[in-house]
Amino acid sequence: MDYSNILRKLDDNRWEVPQSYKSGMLAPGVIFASEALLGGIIEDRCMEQVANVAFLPGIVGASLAMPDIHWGYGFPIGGVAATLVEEDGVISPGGVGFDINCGVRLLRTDLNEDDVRPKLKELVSSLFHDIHSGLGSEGRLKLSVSDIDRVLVQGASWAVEHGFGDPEDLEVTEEMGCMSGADPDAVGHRPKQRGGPQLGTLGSGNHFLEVQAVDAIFDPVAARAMDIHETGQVTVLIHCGSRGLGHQVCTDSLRTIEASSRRYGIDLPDRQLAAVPVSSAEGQAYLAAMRASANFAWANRQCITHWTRQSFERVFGVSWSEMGMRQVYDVSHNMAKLEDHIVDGRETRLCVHRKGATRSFPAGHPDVPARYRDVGQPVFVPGDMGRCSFIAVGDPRAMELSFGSTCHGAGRVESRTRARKLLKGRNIQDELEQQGIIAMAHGWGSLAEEASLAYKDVEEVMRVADGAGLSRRVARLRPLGVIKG
Amino acid sequence: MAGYQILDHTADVGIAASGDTLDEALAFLAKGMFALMADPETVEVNDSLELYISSTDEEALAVDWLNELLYRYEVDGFLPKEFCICVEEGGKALTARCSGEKMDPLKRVFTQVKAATYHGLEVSHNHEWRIQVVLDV
Repeated sequence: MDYSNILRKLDDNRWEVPQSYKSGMLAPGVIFASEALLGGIIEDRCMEQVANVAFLPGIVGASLAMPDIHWGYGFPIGGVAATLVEEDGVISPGGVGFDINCGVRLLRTDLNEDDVRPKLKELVSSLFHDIHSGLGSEGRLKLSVSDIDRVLVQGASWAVEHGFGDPEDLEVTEEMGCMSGADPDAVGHRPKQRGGPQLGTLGSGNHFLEVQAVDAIFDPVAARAMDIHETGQVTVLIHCGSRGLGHQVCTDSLRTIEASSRRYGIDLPDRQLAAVPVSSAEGQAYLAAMRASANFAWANRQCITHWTRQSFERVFGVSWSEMGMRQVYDVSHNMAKLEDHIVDGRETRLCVHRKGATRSFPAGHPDVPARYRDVGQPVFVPGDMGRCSFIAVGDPRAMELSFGSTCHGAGRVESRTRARKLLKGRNIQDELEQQGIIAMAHGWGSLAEEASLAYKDVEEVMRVADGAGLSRRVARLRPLGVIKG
Repeated sequence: MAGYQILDHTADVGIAASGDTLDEALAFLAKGMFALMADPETVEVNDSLELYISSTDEEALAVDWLNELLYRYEVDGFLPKEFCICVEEGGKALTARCSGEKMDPLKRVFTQVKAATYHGLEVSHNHEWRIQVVLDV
């Protein structure tokens, strides 16, 4: 099928999938992409998924796709959909995904690349030892069921209370690292059993911890607000989520919601989009379990932050506070949140699903921490381990364009299987080392699957996000060392 | 032809399985998923597990079956190798006896599967049974 006949160009960075494309769409679709990115998007058939999301009852505006969109299951990865909370607008667990509150956290330091280089191998190996990663990896914490319940209610503050981190970390975490309305009973026994032992672990797949150096600063004012001052300054980026706990919450919730959505007369083109009214008992139960899983993820990144600081302390023989290892921000990219947005001139409560998309609230927004109120909420967009990642801030235009959302990564172009095939026989670790990047993983496969060639160029994705008004680039970070599951 | 095939999907991975009966196709589906995680040749048989799964229809049964096995794998470390399945209630339920390995915690698997999804889910029956499932990895 020739999609170029279907898509309507709105401007250089926006393409519309008209509501008439499929009978049953309740809104149009809008894809944020340049001509250069659009080719890959069309080839990937994710436009079909953008159209399918527009079937969700109560959808407002359009089914949106961020510039890093790629083919997902149900929702595209990089999909944003806002639905009415009242009038039977729906919530869809597939619009959050299996890794609930997967997100990224950035730490800044006073160290410079020159301080770290001589000890880089030792540092990466110490981080690899201290922060458990890999498949089904278990953490260093042994928690009782009642401990897990407290984590699910308190989130990152549970970790800080137990000595994992600093109270200041909470002030620069989305939702202060704790969503209200979380209910451990809504989570049930199975997710706790599956994920409880994994608190404080990175997991596998695309999750990682990266030691980086600031490569370029585009917005010195916003960078200064984040305590980022010069190129060469060392940062640490942590990417992980709610582990087996979130996966099982999504599995269990989908099973219930898939079975009951027909009872509400909701008919969708993909069963993975299964949805129920936000106000229904099933919708409320999912929200309570999702929020608890989000809190688990924040506690997870908080514990990892603590062990990261300990690793640095051991390698450099100086306390973390003397190294200025402060948290810049922590932001989620798999979540559904109830937010107030202006719809047709009226403030309206919406359920904003961000599936592989980052919240990007602008300067002045009350949900942006005081310290960033003048520059906008920090956004972190990891690229791939061979190229670079970005710091950005929310752009005021995003409130109108995307319910305050932007991209979350580079977006895959090659499947994991194909990446393995293409890189067969190559020593990826050595190749990265020749580029000055020390990488440690549990196997060749996880490095191959995450190699640069599997991803779009994050530079182009960020250029589109910037040009379209979703977020503004602040700085570029390049990898020095990376640990992967 | 009875067996399984791994399908490529940009972010994730799919399994297509077929068999003369739905029971056989479901067994190959599970074999396909676990082949992503460990080389079946290296999996020992020193433990077994009996399961009963009840669903809304044949398609949901395939998803629930895989998700139950993933749960048992992550919680109990049970890595299955052989399956004896009996589909009941017109494709809405199954009982299964799985034999495999109580995993050595030091043993590393290739890929972690987070879940089986409903996306692109297909169960068809012409001259043979065919099931297709997309996994989130």
